[in-house]
Amino acid sequence: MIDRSAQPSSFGWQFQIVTAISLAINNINEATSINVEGPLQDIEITLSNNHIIFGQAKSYAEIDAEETNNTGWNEKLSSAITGLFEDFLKQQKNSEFKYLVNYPYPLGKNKGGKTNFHTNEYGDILGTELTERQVKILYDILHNSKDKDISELSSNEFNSSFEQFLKQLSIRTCRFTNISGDRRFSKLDLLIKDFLDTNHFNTSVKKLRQYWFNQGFANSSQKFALSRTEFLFAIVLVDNVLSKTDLFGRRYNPQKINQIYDRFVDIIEHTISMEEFNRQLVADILDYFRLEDIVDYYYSDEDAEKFTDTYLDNYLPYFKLNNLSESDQRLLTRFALARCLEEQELMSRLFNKGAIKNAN
Amino acid sequence: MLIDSINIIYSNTAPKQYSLSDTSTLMSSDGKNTKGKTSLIRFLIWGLGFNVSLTNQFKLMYSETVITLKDSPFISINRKGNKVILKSDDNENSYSLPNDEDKVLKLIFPNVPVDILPQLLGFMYFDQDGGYKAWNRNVVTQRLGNDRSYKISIESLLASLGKVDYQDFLSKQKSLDKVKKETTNFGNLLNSIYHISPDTHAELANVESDIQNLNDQISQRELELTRIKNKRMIYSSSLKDQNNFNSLLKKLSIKIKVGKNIVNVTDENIIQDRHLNTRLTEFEKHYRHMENTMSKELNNLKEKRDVLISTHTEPNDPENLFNSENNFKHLLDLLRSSGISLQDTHAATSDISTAAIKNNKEFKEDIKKTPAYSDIWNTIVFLASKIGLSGSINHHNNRLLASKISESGARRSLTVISYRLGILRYLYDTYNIQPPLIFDSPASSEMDTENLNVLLSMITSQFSEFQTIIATNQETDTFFDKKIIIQDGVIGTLDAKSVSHDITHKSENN
Repeated sequence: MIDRSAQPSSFGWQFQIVTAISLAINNINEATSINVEGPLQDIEITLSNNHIIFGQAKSYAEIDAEETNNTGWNEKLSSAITGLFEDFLKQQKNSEFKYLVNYPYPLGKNKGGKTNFHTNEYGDILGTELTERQVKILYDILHNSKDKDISELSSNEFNSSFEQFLKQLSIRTCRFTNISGDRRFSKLDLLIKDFLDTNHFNTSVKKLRQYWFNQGFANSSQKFALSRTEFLFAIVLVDNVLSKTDLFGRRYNPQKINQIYDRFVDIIEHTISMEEFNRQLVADILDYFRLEDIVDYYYSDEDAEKFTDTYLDNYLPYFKLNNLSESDQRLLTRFALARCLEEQELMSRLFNKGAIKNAN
Repeated sequence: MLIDSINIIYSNTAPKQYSLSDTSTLMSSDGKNTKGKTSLIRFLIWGLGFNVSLTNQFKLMYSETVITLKDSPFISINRKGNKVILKSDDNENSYSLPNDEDKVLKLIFPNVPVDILPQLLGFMYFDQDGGYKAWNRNVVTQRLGNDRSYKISIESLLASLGKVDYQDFLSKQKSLDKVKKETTNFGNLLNSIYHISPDTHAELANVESDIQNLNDQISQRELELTRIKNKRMIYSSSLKDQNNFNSLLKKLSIKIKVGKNIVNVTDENIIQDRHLNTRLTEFEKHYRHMENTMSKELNNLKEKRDVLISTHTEPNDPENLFNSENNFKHLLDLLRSSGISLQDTHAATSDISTAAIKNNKEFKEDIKKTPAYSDIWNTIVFLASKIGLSGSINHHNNRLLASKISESGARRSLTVISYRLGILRYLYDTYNIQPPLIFDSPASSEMDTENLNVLLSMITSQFSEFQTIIATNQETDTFFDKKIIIQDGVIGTLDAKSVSHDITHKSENN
């Protein structure tokens, strides 16, 4: 379970997860996996073209994060940049490197400049956009590093690596303050809402965010590792299509339908996960809507209703249940089909190639 | 200090001599899985004055070794049973083990600081099997007799290298633990007294309703758990069906006739819901996760309930068990009227806990500030990179004081080796300590040939200044200056047919 106390270590871990989710959503089109191995490790977002986004997230847990310069920024910056540069030396070309913090002066207030790090939005400053003084801060940290991989580079190798590293580096300040309750996640929730709206999903933002956080703590081990499928499937689980009681967009005698559903929801779940049921459904959809491939199916309430009317009798046998009047059985079958068609389309929108768009 | 040769004399068998190379020696049975290598190694270490146990068949009082040395003020070390004679050019001195162990080791390894001496063995010797898993506070190898086994203590090592007072920390911690135990015991006594007091009846009623409450929650959750299990069954059985169908499809190689064409039915052209598998897999995962969470919750509730039931005492006052006037009743009265509350004792216990935690934390922080803490880790990272462990051993995270090593199998052995050799390297760089480096059967710790070669190559390149001794039956590409083949036991008594012999290889570069 997430430790909801304001302890600095668990706050830091939360910030890691928040940034991992943000990076995932901003790159969801290409992302194949999202990993944070532990509180001290990099965030790694693997993309489908084999690029990797490495992120180091450092946070400051006091309430005055937005104003103070007393954030321990130097130690955090040193540790993070060293880590990223080491990964760069190993990975080179196909990667992006991001340094993310929750305070406005990632490079300190005095020489690190405050004017070009946004405090209000999730804006990236590229390594090539840094001022000379800012670049020097990073250069000095790496140049003085005692880490063997870095200190073993010759002067030329170091300089050319550093130059290339800057081209692949970006620094970002995110709003995530240690205030109690859900307000802490307001920025993240906005981002998630944006993502859902862009892709026309109608899911509860808060539930989705809570679900992702809980997944990150599976097996009570401190490891956040989700594949693309697991990450996106959260929308299906939170959406919970099966529990809806409207029929083709209309609220339909909720009492009646609730009675029937409650009694038979297990059987419905069982039936609609059967291979033969789904094969028949797909075949009928292809046939009725004259489609080449199920990928091309788009849901509309009107069409779904017409489809159901046409094929209802074929599907009644699947729902031949005891103690059910014929009219109830027809009603039940209609609902089951309506749910299937909706979920069919939800899955398509989530998992077909190129279906998901990044937020913004 | 270099070991030139060892002469082993046991009971009334003929003495057996082995010479070692100054640089690298391989001990092998050339394919035969016979005893002897570990025995020889144990004799070597035992002969140097360490109080390690010899292998099973050798009794202490009949064992004698004479080890000749080079690069040392001593010509030889003669150990017979527990008597050691150190012979130098002009005199000889005798000592008695185990009492004089520290004295003897200090003479043989003069560069080693006295407080690191007890751990030295852990950084130069890797015992078969268990020895490759031993890290902080684990047993490096068995000691003779009932003494505490040889162990490494990283805290003690760092404390002595960084001049932090370890004994002070230990004694503080010990006192705090003792006091905490005493206050906890006192608290328990008070607790049991309150259960015997006349207020017990009201308390009992509370306990009963608590138990009832828990029972309700438990039944609720058990119902929920059954539902979740059923849901999970739906998806896992559908998944099974799907897999069976697909494999059957491949197996049967079905063909259909469409007009005049014959078409092969494959999973490419068969009508199916391509997302079904994802849906089933993810739902099954989801319900499995819910099942695990719910089971854990249930177990916690049941435990709570069991505790309540077991401490739910019946109103059978122990007071009534005593027929006569006695001090127990008097003690109870005194305590009741003393005004000492459970809260007070709990507060006291908690204060002490906090103090103990603080003591520990301060000590750890002091240790982490020592230069040795990061220097040793840097060395370990460097060595680890030579054997492919940079993923888990790197500069992101100094794991020297981590409470456990989470790796397993071959990775654990390699990790442990890098740690201990990293320390040895640091001790060499700092104090010029150069003991012989001894590995007994590294391949038995689940390491394959490739890993073994990588490991041996790291050892021979990074520890080339050390006298290295490796005992293994595995094939290896590594070059050794000398090879000792043991096929019939260390003193040649196992198999009358074969003969053990030394082979010296001339170095190609010399």
